Amino acid sequence: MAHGYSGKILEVDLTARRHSLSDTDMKAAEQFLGGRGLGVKTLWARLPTAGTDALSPKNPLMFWPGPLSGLPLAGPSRVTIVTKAANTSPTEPSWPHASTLTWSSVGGHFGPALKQAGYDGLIIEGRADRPVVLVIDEHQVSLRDVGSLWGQPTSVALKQLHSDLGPDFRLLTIGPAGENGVRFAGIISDVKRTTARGGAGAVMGAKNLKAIAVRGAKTVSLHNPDGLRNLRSDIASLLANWNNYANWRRWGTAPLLLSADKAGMLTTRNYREGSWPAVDKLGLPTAEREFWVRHASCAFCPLKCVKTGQISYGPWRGTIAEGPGYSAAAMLGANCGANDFGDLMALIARADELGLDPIATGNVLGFVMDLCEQGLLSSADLDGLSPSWGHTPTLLQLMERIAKRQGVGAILAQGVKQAAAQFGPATVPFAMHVKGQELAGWNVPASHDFAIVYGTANRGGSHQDGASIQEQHRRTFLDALCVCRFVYGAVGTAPYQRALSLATGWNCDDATMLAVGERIWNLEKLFNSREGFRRIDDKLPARFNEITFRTGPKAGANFSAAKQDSLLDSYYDGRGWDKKTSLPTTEKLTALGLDKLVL
Amino acid sequence: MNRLTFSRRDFVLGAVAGTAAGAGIATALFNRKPPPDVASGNNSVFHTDRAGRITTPSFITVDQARCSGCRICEAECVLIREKSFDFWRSRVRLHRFEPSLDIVSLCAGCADAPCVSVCPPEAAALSRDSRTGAILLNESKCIGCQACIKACAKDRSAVIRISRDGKKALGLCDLCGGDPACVKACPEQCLSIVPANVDGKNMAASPAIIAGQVSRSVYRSERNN
Repeated sequence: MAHGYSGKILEVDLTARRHSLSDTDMKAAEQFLGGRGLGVKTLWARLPTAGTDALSPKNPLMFWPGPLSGLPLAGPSRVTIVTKAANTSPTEPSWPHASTLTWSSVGGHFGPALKQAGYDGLIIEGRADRPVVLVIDEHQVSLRDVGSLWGQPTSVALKQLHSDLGPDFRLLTIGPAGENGVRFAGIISDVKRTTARGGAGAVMGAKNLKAIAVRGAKTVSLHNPDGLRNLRSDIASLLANWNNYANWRRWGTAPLLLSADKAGMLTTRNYREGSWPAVDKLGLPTAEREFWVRHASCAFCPLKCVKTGQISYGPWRGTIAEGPGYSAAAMLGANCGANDFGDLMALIARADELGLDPIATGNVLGFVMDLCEQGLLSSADLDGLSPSWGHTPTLLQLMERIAKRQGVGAILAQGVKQAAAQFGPATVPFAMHVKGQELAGWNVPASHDFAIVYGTANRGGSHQDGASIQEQHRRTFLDALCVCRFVYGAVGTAPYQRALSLATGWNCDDATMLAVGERIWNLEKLFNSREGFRRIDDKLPARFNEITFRTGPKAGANFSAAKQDSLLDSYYDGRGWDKKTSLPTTEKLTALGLDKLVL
Repeated sequence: MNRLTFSRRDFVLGAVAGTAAGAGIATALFNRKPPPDVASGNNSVFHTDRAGRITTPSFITVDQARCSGCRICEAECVLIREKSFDFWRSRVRLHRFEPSLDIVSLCAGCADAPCVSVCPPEAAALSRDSRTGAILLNESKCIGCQACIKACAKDRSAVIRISRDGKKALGLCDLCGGDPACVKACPEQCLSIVPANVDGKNMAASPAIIAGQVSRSVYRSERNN
């Protein structure tokens, strides 16, 4: 058996209510590692043709740890979910269900637990005839009826499952939004983090799968255990000596709100401004003084970015919520015009409880309020509701309607792109998305790098995927190892290249790392190309070419159409892709060893 | 390695003050750096020597409200004490509760030791270390009858478990012979060594019971939730 892998993948067929084991393809593992890499490789193999309906039983929902998962290192604590996206579509679709693939990862303990349960991956196909929970207790795998848990908010489901199964199980669950097929529903982990982007929660809901519980304490064979033991201390030292270590442990990503505001990169009122006067009310110092009661960590990491608190005043006093992390605070805060900390946390708490992607939800709500302000929507279109910037009670009502797909909620639950198509052509320019994926909490006019980040991310408008080609490859490599972005920011890639070598015995110099990233990235691109995505789908909403910031430190910043085109031209050039179509050239695919895969 | 950001002496003093150990408290509180002869281990207040090794019967206690659930203690136990990556053998177990709480279970060397009292006399695999106060398991004597496992599960935190092969008990903490690895590694400093004049059994309830209690103090006004 190869080192670093258990060699087994757990396959669950929900239609037949059966599970089986398959062998990990070790040749593929050496090329694609795990996580996002093996996930994309497997998705490509399982969906041989374009146009699969993401919400159909055929779409595999896959959970991938990596070769470092379950090892006691700070960093590889995530699990990457790979599936065909429920929320994306090309500008000119050739078939009804054309969509990108999506990968979405979540920190906590689920990934390490899945690996320690003995699996290199978990592939779920089919659709259960009634709502179920998948319970994985090492080799004992079972499906249990969820009964009354279906329809319950995520915290109720987590509490019930922990009490039924035992508090040492690690959990992922969906909320009502995923059950009801909201296109931007996420999957929530037991540390209250969300695999937000790409609608994986809707895919899980379409399979009638409410939750997954996993427990395990197995080990895999390791190439150099002593080396890993030492490396673990080295990573701990590097982290402890990181100049941001104490800040990060204390505040997590909350301070980014203040710095993004200063840099004009915040998303304010549907992206029209890059700063927000009430920003100091949304994150620090209020969070620390009025809200946080404890901090939680992901597996084997001392950074404890997971901040939990309880609203201490006002109408939502007593509500327990996780955050505010930067993205949720930017999107449900500044982008929705929130100017009160309690309001923001009430919105975040509701998004978590309903199982909604907080980023996309903030984008959708901002879109609705923008349309109301422009006079393109009225309360008659919105079930009698009149949402206005910062009016939290109305926003909470809209979120409930979205999650349950009631009334106008059924339209908004499709995301801004489809909703705009339904509301009429005049509303289309206000839909801030790329490929149908709602943009996230970083604005563009004062930071043009995000044209590449959002535009070229293979899962659509994501802020996580890197602004340069090399950075995209580094991050892709880390996603294949399920290493956290924040720990990477503190210690770089080198410890994880070394960890991979020590665990598997494979050489992993910089060239190897970047080649793995490029291979995965291009295979994702091929998947999307097959679905019909082209250069036009890599462009930001044209509204960015019209917005000029009027307020804040970056007043006057804009983003021209010409800049958009020149950025894409040089990006495709750098990648060896065709500038006109954005498709990878045959030479590029051959160089990456992907040509055989494609044929 | 520069990762320990606190000194051993600090948390020993904190633990002593926190557990109301008696006459030494004033010294502990007002005299943060006791003279070397006081800290040399002969004084009952200072139950570790200058290197931090346990010199009088003690156990490890957890500030549960402060635990972030990182599992570094759990890893440390297998990596340092067991020299292995086999998490099944870790003496430390983490449990997750909703609303957000992480509860640590580990052997508290209970004064009444229900595990020791049920160990069959013909095996006599369990004994108490007279110096550290830890309950020691002699693996070569253990017959795998699971009496101690049942006793711990019935009345305490169920930290004693059976080995993978079903032949031996495991999970009893020997305090690493007096220098526990988990305590040194905790980034939250929420593990501390306390002298056994506080009975460990009070800390050794099942994780669900502890979670209920800690939750009431951490989350104070759930009524509006």
